[in-house]
Amino acid sequence: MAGERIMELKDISISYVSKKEKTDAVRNVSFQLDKGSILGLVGESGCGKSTLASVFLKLIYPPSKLMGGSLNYYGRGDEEDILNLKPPDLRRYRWKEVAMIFQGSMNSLNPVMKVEDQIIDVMIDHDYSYTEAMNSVDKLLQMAGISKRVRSLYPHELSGGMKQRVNIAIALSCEPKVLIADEPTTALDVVVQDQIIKKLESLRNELGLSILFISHDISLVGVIADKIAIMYAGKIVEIGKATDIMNNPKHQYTIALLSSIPSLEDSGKKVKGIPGKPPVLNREIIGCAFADRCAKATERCRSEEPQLEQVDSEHLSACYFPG
Amino acid sequence: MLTLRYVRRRVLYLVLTLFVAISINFFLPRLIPGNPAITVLLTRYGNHITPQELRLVESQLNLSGTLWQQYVGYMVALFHGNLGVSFYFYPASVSSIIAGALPWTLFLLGSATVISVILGVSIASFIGWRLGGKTDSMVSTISISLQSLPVFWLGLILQIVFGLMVVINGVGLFPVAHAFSTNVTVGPNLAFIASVLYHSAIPILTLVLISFPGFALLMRNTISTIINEDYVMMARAKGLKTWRLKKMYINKNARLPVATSVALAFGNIVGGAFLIEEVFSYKGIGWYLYTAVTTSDFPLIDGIFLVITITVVIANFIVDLLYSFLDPRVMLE
Amino acid sequence: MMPNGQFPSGQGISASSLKRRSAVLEFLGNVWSNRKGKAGALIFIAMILIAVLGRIFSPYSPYDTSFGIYLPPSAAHLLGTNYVGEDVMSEFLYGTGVSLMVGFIVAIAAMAIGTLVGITAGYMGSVTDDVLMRLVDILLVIPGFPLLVILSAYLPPTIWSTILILSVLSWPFNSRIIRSQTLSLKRRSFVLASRLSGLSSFRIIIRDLIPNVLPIIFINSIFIVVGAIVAQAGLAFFGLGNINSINWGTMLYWFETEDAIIFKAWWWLLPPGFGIMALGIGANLLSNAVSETSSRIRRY
Repeated sequence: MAGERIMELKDISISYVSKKEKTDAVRNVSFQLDKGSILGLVGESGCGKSTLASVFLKLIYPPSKLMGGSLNYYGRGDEEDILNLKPPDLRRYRWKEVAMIFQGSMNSLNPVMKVEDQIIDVMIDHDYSYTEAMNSVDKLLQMAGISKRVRSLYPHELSGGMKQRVNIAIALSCEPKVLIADEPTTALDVVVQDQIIKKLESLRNELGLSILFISHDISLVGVIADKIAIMYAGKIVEIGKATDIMNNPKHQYTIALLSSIPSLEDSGKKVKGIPGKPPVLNREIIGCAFADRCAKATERCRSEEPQLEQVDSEHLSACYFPG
Repeated sequence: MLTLRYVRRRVLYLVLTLFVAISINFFLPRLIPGNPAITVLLTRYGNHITPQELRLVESQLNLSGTLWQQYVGYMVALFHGNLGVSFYFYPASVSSIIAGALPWTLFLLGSATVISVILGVSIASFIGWRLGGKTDSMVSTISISLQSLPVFWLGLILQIVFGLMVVINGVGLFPVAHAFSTNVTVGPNLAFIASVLYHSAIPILTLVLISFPGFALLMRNTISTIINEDYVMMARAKGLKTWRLKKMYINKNARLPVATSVALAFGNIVGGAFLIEEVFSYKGIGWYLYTAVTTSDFPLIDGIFLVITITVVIANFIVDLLYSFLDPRVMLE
Repeated sequence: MMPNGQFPSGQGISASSLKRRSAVLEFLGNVWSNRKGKAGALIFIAMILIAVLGRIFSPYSPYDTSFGIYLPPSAAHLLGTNYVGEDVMSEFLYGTGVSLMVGFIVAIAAMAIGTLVGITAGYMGSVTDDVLMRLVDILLVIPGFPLLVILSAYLPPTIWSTILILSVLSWPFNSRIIRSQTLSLKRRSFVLASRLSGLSSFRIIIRDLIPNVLPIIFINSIFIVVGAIVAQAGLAFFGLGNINSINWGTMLYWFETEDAIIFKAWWWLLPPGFGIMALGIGANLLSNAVSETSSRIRRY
C-alpha cells in the first residue's frame, strides 16, 4: 500500500567541511516518509544516519554543510520547501510540525532548567498560552509513560530511561505531525528499550504520527517499522516494506546485516559480524562502497557503482547480485 | 537547595584554611634564624635597650616561654582581636589600623569585582553569538593584551594619562592620588561621598581593565564548547525564540564556570588592589602593607596578611554557597 | 593522528625512550605548525634571545651614571635615561635576562615539585593523597600576593629568595594534573603489570605519563613563566626582594619611588610593561595553539 507522503527528500547531500578535507557524510539520498507510518532507517555507526536526521529540522551547522537537494513537507496541505524557509518561518516549523528525539538524549536536556520549564518554554514559543502549557505538562508526561512528579525535578535527578521519556514528552508537546527518533533506545536497558518502542508504536496508532525511526539495530527496526531503508557509506542501498527487507533482502549488505543477528531459534549457528570496516568518506568512492567487504564482489562492483533499481513492488536495491 | 553536608564541608575548608594562615603567621617569625622583628627593634633602639625591656618586648610579641606557651598566648591574643602594636605607627594597635583601612580596600575590591564580572559576562554574551567573526577576534585580542599587563604598570599609565595629560584648567581630569580630597568633612555627607567616588574612579578602572578580560574570555570559551552540546542542538530544534535560546540555554550554563572562577579571581584581584593602592596612595590595607614592608613593621605585616586571608576565605565561602543556587547539580558531588 | 614511523626502528634507541621522544617532538611539531603557535613561539624565542644576548649588545653598562638625567629618547640613548642618568635601553636589555631567568627557574621548579607531589599523591593514594591534595586546595585559596609579601618580608632580600618563594607557591596546579593522570594510569597499569613481570607499575606510570600530560603541563609552565615574572615585578614594586638587582620589576619600582611620573618619563615606564605584555600575549597564543592541536587537553 503506497501511503500518502508527508515528507519527501530529494538528492540530499551533506558534507563535513574543514580546512583540510571534505567528508561526504550523506550522498544523494532520496526517499519519502508516509503519513501515519513508521520508516526505519538502519545502518552501522558512522554511515551518516544521524547527519541525515538533522536535515529534517534543518539543523545543519558548521562544520556540516548542505551540498544540495531538497526537502518537501506536505503536512500543512501545500508542498513546502523546508530548506528554503526564512528564519522566522523555519523557527515556527521546527517542533510544531516536526519534532525529534535525539541520539544523545542523555544530554539533550538543559541541566539548569526544571523538566516542566523545558516543556513549557517550547509551547509558549509556539503560541500556546502559559496556562495551556502549564496544564499540558502532566498529560504529556503521562503520555510518555512517566510520573507527573518529575515535572519539578532537574535532569540530573532522573535516570536514563526517565530522561528519554521526558524527551518524548517534550517532543509531543507541540503536537507535531512527524517525529524523528534518532537511536531513541541506545544506552537503555532491554526492558526500558522495549517499553519505549511500544510507546512509540502506540503514539503512531493513537495520534497518527509519522515516525522516522533511526537505529543501528536491524532486528529492533524490523519489529516496529512499516518500511525500512538501509544506509551504507552515506547512501541508501536498499529500501522496501519491512516484511520484504526482513524476509527477502536483496542487497548483499542487508543480507550480511541480517545474518549478524543472533537468533533464538538456531542458537547453535555461529553469529558472524561483517568483516572489515566501512570506507572513509573523505575521498571519492569508485564502484560499490560495500565491495571491499562483500564476498561476491566482482570487477564490475569495484569499477561501476550500482544504482537503486526496482527489484519488486515498492522494493529498491542497489546491488548487482539481488538475493 | 543547600544540604547540610555541603555546608558542613565548606565550613571545614574555611576552618582548615584559616588554621594554615594562622600557623604561617605564628611559625614564620619563629623559624627564621634571628627573629627579624627583634632585629628591627634592636637596631632601632641601638644598644640602649635593657634586658628587662627586651623581655617586655618579647612577651608583647609572644616570644617568651616554650613554643607551646607562645602558641597558646598567641591564640588567646588572636581571639581577643589583639594583633599587637605597630612598630612604625606606634602606639597605634595593628587591629585599629586595619579596622580603619579595610573598608577602603573592600570598597575597591568589591566594586572592581562586581563591575568586572558584569562587564565580562555581558561582553561574552555579546560575542558568544558571533564566534569566529571579526568582533570576536578583536575583542579576544584586546582582552588577552589587557590581561597580560601588570596591574601597577597600567595604573601608572592611567595616572599619567588622567592626572597629567588630560588636563583641564591646570588640573587633571581625575584625581590620581588619595581616597578623597582634604577639603571635605569625613562622614555621611554628599560632598564626601562624591569625593570618594571621584577619587576611586581611576583605581577601580585600572582593576576592572585587568580583571574583566579573564571573565570575558572564560565565558566566551565556555560558550564555544556549550554551543556544541546536545541540549543546545535540541534547543535549536525546538524552534525557541532566539533570546530564550541565548538566555536560558547558553548563558545560563556558560556563566557557571565564571561563578566558580570568581572566588579564585578574587584572590588575584586582592593582589592587584594592594599594588594599585600603592600607586594611587590610596590608604587601604594594601597601602599600609606597603608602608609596613618598607619600614619593616612586622606586626602590621602579619596582621594584614591574616585579615586579608580571612576576608578572601570568607568571600570564597559565600561564593560557594551562592553557587549552589546557580547550578542545581552541585549537591551531587 | 599519530604519524607512524617517524624513526626507523632498531637504531639503538630503546622502545620507551623512542616513544617519549617522538611524543615530545610530535607535540612541539604540532604547536609549531599552528599559526598562533608559531607566533607565540617566536615571541618567546625573541625574548629569550634578548635575555641571553642583551648584555653583549647593550650600548652601555647599565650601571653607568655618566649621562644626563631624564634624557628623552635620542640616537645616543634609544630609550632615554633614568633618574640617575643610566641608559634605559641597557637597563632593559640587562633586566630582561634577570626577569626571564626568574620566570624559567620558577617554572622548572614548579614542574619538578608538581610532578613529585602529583605522582606521590596519585601512586600512594589514601592518607598521603588526602593530605597532599587538601594542602593544594588551601594553597590555591590563600590570596597569592599577600602570601608572597609576608614570606618575602621575612626572608633575606635577594633575588634567590624571591625565586625560592615563587617556586614553593607555583606547583599546586601541576600536581593536580599529574595526580589525576597517575590515578587513571595506575588503574590500567596494574592489569598490565601482572602480565609484564619485570616492569613495575611505577615505571609504567612514569613512562606513560609524559605523553598524556605534556600539552597541559607545557601550557601551564608557560603561564607560570609569565606569572612568576609578573609576581616578581609586583614584589619588587612593593620594595621586596633585591631592589638593586636590575630587572623589569625594579625598573618600575624606581620609577615609582623616584616620582619619575612628574617628569612624564614614559620611555622609562613603557619598556618593562611592554616586555611583560609581549610574553603574556605569547603565552596565550601558545595556549590557543595547544588546545587547537591537541585533543588530549580537552579532558581537563
